[in-house]
Amino acid sequence: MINRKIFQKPWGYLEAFLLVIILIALALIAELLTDFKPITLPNWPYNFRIAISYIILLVFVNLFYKNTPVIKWLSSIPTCITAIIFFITLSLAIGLVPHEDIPGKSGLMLSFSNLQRSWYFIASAVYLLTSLGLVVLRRALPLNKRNLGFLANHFGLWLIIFAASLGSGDRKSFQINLEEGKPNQIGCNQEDVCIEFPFSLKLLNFHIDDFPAKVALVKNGADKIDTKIKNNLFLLEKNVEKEIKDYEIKVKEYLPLSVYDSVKGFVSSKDIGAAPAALISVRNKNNEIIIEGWISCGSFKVKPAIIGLEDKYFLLMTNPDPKKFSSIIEIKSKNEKKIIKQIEVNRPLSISGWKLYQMSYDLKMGRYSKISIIDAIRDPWLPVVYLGFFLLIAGSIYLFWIGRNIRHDENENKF
Amino acid sequence: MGWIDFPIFALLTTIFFIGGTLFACLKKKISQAKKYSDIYILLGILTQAIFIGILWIILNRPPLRTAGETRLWYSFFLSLIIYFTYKRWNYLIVLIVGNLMVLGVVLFNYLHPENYDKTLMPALLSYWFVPHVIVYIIGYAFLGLSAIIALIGLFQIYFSVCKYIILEMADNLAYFGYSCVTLGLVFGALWAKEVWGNYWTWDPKETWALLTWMSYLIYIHLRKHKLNNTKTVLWTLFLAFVVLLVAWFGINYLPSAQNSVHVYSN
Repeated sequence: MINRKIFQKPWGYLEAFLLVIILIALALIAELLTDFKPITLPNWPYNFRIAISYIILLVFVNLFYKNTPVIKWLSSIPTCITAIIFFITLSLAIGLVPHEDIPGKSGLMLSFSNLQRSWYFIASAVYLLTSLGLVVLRRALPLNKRNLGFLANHFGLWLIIFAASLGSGDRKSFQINLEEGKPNQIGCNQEDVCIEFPFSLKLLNFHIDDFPAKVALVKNGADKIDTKIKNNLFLLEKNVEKEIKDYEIKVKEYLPLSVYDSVKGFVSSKDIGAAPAALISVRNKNNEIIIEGWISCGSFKVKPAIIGLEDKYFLLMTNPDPKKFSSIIEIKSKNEKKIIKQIEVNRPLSISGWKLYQMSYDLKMGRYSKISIIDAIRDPWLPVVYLGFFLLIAGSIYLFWIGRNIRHDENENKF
Repeated sequence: MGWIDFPIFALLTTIFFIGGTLFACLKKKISQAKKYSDIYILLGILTQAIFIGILWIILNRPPLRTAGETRLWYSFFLSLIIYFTYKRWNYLIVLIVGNLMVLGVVLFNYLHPENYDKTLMPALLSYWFVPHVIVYIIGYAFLGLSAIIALIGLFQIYFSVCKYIILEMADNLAYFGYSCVTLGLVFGALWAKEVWGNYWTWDPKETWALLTWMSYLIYIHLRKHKLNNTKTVLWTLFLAFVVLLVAWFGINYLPSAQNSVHVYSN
């Protein structure tokens, strides 16, 4: 590499880096021509045609030009490493720059904050896919048992990048807002494009399981809870005793659902809008002063309650964290058949080629929400990406298994 | 009360590891030292396992949610891997530096006590939770040790202490670690699809996990290539671990990651 002039064969790192620079320059020109707008990726059937043409081109090149110096170089380790470095650089920029759309951003900065949909990214993906694809073909034809692990890793990765990039144009995601008792078959995406589904959904019941609420000691005038204080934010359960700073705190009563009664204080209730409340006794260890009272995080119906501690601190209750939330939904498809199913976070539901995900609810109403927000997602290229994932899993297990038996060049230990 | 009795467990772990390492250093001078070294180190590993087990039972959920909890697993797996690497290669310096790193992690956890908390957000209630995090932690432990070996190798090169380069050992650990990290990445993608309907969203943690994965990919390919420069290879291995650390903890401080779904909860 050292005693060789540039472009003198066999090519190596220098030419590979030069190719990256040329690709960046070409991408910049494409960005200028398209006014730095994010690319809209092609959808069916154009993406499929591109996929087939590209694969035919790779196979053709491999069949007829496999042994030419340029194609050998394209499937060599220097191009592979430069292709990864190019991809790393772009990913690093994605990982460092917040990528929300900021209005008023234009030109270079616009493409920089949306790199995943820029020409730089396309150039990098094409370079990586070409280098990787040629290596896969070189090892796969003719197929040898010894190359299976290698192929699982390389072809798996190739499939993932290939199908995920080309398939993203066909990926559809729509949000469906369901109101209890009202059938809905319309969903809208982020660009406010709405579609009608071949089925309608009706929310029969929305349910949240909560954890107990937590108690926090807060300094007067502070605008947030100091989570570093030992024991701060402990779960409220009856008879639990904890020390926060100089205060011994005892939970004498915990009511998961309650309303305020002007005579009795907080009392258990199943009314809509009932909120958690806790009867707390606090003893200051330094002066033995004991304060007792109710705390509650409140709700749209119940006023929050706090306990003031000698003008220095106060005790408050935080809103309980949801343990899980789910929706019971009645689904009516075109053939008028009604089915009732439950959708839960981590348990999506498949229907007519769509997958339905439990996403959110009316956060202000919390456990009394009458609204459930469902995402309907369709991704026809997913099986191909999954095939890539499973090949990669197989490849990893193979790598783990053979570990140290991987051969290296003999002169590796010289430096 | 923070983690129940962590200081006692931390102290026991420290005593066992210091004892085990000292006995290993003295194995040529004292008979039976080898046996004691094994017993002490295994007791150190067992102490950590018991603490994790107790914490799991008390919390009634896998203790894998907070940064501190992942560090507990890390020191456990790291010590396990160091012990087996030491038994396989019999390279004392790896045991010494490796156990110092384990004790560093234990000390860090001691100095940063966490309030234990039973809550777990709904997205984490999945059978993917444990395998996803555990393979990552095991992978991180392998790669952490490979970084230590890279440092030892670089020290040997720069100070010409001795020309015995332990690249084969570093390779094994890097391959094991890389396989685990690949599995973690794919499990994470499969899980994300099930929770949010997307297997990849360029969430900062995902992006940095990908960067970590690709950094090790470079190391593996550099090693396969006819590159006569051990220095470059070892630096790559060490710097890849720096990227890994950013992905693991540094991410919490990045402005781009403030809305990440992966930032450890407080």
